[in-house]
Amino acid sequence: MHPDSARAERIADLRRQIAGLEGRPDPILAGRIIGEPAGTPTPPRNGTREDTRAAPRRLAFGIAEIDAAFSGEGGLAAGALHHLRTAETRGAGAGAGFLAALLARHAGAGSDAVLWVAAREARAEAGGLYAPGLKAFGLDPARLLLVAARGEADALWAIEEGLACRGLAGVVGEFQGLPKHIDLTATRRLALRAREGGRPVFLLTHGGPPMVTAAATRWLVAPGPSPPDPELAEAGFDAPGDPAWSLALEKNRDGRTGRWLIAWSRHDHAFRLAEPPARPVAAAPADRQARPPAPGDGLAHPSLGRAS
Amino acid sequence: MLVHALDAEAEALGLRVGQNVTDARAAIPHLAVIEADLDADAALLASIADWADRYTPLVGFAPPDGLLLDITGCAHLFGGEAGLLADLLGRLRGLGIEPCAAIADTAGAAAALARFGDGHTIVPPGGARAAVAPLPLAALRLEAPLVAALARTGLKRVGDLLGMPRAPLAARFGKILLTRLDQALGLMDEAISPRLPLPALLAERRFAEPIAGLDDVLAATQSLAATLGDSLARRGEGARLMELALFRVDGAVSRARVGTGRPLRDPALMASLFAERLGRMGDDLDAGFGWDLVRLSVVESAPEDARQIDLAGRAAAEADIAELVDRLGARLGLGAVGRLVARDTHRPEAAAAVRPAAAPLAPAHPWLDIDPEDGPIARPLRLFPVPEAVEAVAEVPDGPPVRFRWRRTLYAVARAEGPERIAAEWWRSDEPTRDYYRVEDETGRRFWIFRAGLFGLELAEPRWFVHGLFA
Repeated sequence: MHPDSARAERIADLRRQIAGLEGRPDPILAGRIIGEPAGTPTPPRNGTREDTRAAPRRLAFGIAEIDAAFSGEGGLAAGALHHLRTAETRGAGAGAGFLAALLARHAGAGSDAVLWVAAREARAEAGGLYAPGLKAFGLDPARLLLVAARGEADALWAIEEGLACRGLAGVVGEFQGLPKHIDLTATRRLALRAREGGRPVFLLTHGGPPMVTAAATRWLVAPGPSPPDPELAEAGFDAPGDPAWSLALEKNRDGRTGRWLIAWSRHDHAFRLAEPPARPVAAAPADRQARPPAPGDGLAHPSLGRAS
Repeated sequence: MLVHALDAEAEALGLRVGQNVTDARAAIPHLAVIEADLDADAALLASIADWADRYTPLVGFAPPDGLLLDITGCAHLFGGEAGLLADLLGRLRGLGIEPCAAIADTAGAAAALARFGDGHTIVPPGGARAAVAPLPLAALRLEAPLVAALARTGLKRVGDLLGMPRAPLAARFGKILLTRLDQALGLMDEAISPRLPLPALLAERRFAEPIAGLDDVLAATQSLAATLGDSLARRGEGARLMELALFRVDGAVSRARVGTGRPLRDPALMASLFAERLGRMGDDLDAGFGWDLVRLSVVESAPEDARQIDLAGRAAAEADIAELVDRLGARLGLGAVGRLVARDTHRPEAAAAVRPAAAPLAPAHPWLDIDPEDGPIARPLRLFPVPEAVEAVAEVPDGPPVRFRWRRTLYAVARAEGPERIAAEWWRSDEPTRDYYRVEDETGRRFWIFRAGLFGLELAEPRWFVHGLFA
């Protein structure tokens, strides 16, 4: 056999295996190599009990401009892996806030419980979730099932277990920096489980560089200047207003990328587009690294202090 | 220095326990003397007690060097009392121990005969009186001075006491003498205090050929769980805490415990919880030459609540979540899986706590109500368990910070709101009052920052802390 044809055969075989892992049709039989799943979700495993509810298929933002970036203009796919990252650990509040707002908007039908798995490093560096703050976001703290994992491997295992549980509305995995165990293979497994169950899994990483994952979308979440609160401004106070985020959709396998500045309305628990601030803002470019990531990035006390 | 213990050879040469070491050396010049290690003796006795668990779950200590086993209802598993005694002595000899044992109606008689009998006595039911009569009085577990006092009056054997009037004996030698005598004769009950809590239910399986593979252990666990599941179902209960004990051929015992959030009786679920737990133990679980006894016991059980499945499937979802909590808890520890609960205090770090999700539901305290009409969200989304000290520049006496340095980075405050004054409870009066500010820096990062101490009143130089991050 010609060596080239042997190699081609091997590559085709590997592609078939990958397609099998991702639940896509056989690429060779389908006559194409790249293909997004047309996938109807397969029934969840361990299907001993009748699943009496249908998970929402899409998590909409309620902002036409953002929802339009996705196929069907419906927002994030529900049965998929989404990666939210913050460039700095001090932005961890923004990352968790954006996710909390998203979860608050989408309570599941039968159960609205969310499994929130946090690796130890993330809890130590970015602080723990604070229930009164979640409550103010419209996310009932009782919905959250918190898992304090000692290591990344434990956290990853807990996320997978959560995805196999039909009683949950979604799973969140929170990590610090560049987690070693979160690689392409691991995230493929998560994405596959999410699709099987029709429930979203969110990967939240703080202070790390963009990673290679099998996520359907990757977002860079940074805090944005909050829109002035009309009542406080009227009274002459220059106080921080509603939460606001600068979002960069860096990767989207389900549509196009984009950048938005959005804010959260505390009254109606909805997102809205925010006006860019009138005063000049000196922010680092959000869509790329100002410098290559160095070891110790994302830790509170890197050995070399960052000049600022 | 006194002789603490002797081996058989030294005993044959006429040495005695309690003898002076110098005298013993004078009698036997080549005597090998090893210093007694009481801690190691105690550890060995504990490990033998662990091992003896294979005969009965009720094992107690009989100081200083004995064990009491309540084998009521257990002997038939070993072919009767003789079979059990032979098995026990044979195995202990195999482990390099020279045991003396006796089986009798009462703990007192068994203890007396084990120490002063021929080492493998079995007293037939009702024969305790005849069996202990020829033994020396020390066999009644009496203190040495008491035995000596009795000897001075000519009372040397248990049989000497049997015909005596009781009142003068008690008056002269104390109540303990009659108590011990009655305990040995079965006239008075004696409770053996077990080393380990007695399980509510247990099932075990013995293997003629020891098993070493984890798969075999799990298969055995599953079949034991099925047995327990049936028993639990008959009692209308479920297991809350279970223990799997693996008895190794060489006497070592490994134990693994699994707790559950709600009463459980499904064998497959029990087995899967132990699969997680054992998988987690990894190298700590050393099979050695294999296990020959696997025991699964229900340490705690609770009435199983009958659940109704409502139309929305919420109950089904809750059951799924409870299963998930158990599975996560089996591997990560039940304390690692929690839910947020509110607590009745104003101190921010104490106002919310994480409680193990497996714990039974307690009446919940309502959350701090934050009304959106009151202004922007006043509580952060992430809170540092310990506030982090920062260097801050602020107007005195009570202005918000203008600049602060946190984690080696300098932040310039663009907007601030506050203060919100939060004082500790009056019984914590040594904690300074905190003035909290919501501040936003130039790029939109929002912090919850506080000044500890009122300027000039509580502290000469108030200190600043970052306590949380807003979204």
